[in-house]
Amino acid sequence: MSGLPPPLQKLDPSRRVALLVGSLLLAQFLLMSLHARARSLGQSLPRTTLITLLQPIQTATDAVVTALVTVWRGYVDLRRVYVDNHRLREENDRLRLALVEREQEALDGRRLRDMLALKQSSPAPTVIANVIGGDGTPWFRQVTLDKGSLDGVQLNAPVVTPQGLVGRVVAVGPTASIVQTIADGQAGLGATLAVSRVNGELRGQNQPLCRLDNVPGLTEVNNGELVLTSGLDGVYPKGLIIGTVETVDRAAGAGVHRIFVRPAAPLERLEEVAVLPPMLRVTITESPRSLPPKSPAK
Amino acid sequence: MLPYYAMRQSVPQRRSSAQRLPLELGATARITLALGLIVVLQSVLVRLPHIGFVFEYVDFVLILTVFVGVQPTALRAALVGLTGGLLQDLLWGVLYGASGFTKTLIGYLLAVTSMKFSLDSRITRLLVLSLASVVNTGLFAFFLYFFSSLSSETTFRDVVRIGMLALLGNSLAGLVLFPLGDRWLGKWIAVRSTDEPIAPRAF
Repeated sequence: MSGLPPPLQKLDPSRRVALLVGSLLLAQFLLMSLHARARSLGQSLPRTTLITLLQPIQTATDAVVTALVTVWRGYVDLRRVYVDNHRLREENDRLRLALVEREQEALDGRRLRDMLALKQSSPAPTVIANVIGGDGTPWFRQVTLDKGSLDGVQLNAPVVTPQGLVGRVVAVGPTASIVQTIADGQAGLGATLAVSRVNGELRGQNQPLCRLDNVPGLTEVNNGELVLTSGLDGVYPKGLIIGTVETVDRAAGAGVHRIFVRPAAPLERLEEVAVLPPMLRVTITESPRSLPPKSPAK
Repeated sequence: MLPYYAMRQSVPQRRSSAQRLPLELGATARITLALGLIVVLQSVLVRLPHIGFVFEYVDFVLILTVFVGVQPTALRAALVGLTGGLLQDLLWGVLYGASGFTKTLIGYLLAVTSMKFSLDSRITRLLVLSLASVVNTGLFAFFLYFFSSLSSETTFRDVVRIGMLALLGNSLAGLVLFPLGDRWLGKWIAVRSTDEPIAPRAF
């Protein structure tokens, strides 16, 4: 303990620990304060480093878990076969396994074909990525992709599936990136009702349904109506499918409707997604306020 | 070219030196490794079909913090909470330090309490985990609210609902994981009388 400064040496050991823990707590409180003030949601060097370090482990773990799930599903399927005739069981097993494989291949092929079509119809360079992790908490709705800046993924890039919009990239590492889905409680975007062409703001609620705000009560809105991106938020391009209207709590007169939208993309079971190039962003800097007006020439 | 006797001697020497280099990680390094792995595992388990949503309400880092915290190793419990919490904060990216603060505090308070009261029994640990789960959810939600990082749609009722589900999820997970922790991590985190840390009585 001779390495400690003299004032600390005089302290009781348990008080030294209390002092250290207190300092750590204070440091973290200041960190929260700084982070909340910076409003730099997502991208930071420590976070980028962490997701880059965890990406290989996440990919490997995801592969192992997926394999186990596949085996388990195969086992469950096979169990149903055991009630059949004993003489035909082996042949039945083989055929069923082959059928499952073919169906899986067909599904994979269809999904990849859809993704390829989406990629060809999207402006280049579109990046196809696999989802390798979720955030594991009820407070947020984010997913981790196995592609990063080395593959061309950029910050704020919209992420889509053939079914519809997923969200946007909020953190990018060299080999991995994190996507905030539209269901995240902090997500918001400009949306348009496809039939009435009225604009509103879509907000995530950390629930399966999102909420569409600021649609005037005089607007006619029907269940099942398509909701598209409006392009007014500067992040998502116009015309992407967000989802369909699930329920409408109608407002009277000058009020606003309370509309719930079911996302078209399967946000709870994402596998492959396409990362579009980010929209052109305009950086607004503070205008020089104190410049005196030019005096008129005499 | 080495002479023959030198070559004969050098080979067994190299072998023996290689055998004397076991990968001995310290307790803190092993727990840090375990923390990283469980953070990854949680992010993957949550994607399991049909049952994945259950793991949203299981906080593996909190369970490990309580596991370490019920022993009178105050600094180690606080550091485990700090490391795991900050890892979660970095992954979530919403409010750095919120989870770290909560879990550091929980780990430290548990360890300080366990110096006076024995908490390291099967039943007590589960009760302590339930209490820690409620404190964890409440404090984390408070910080999100305090720093305006909580979704505007989230109500007090939502926080209570999440807290109750987390209590249930963590308690059930603790029921399974504590015995496994005793088996795999017990010898690593046991208090060692030969340690000479900065605070021998509290560490």
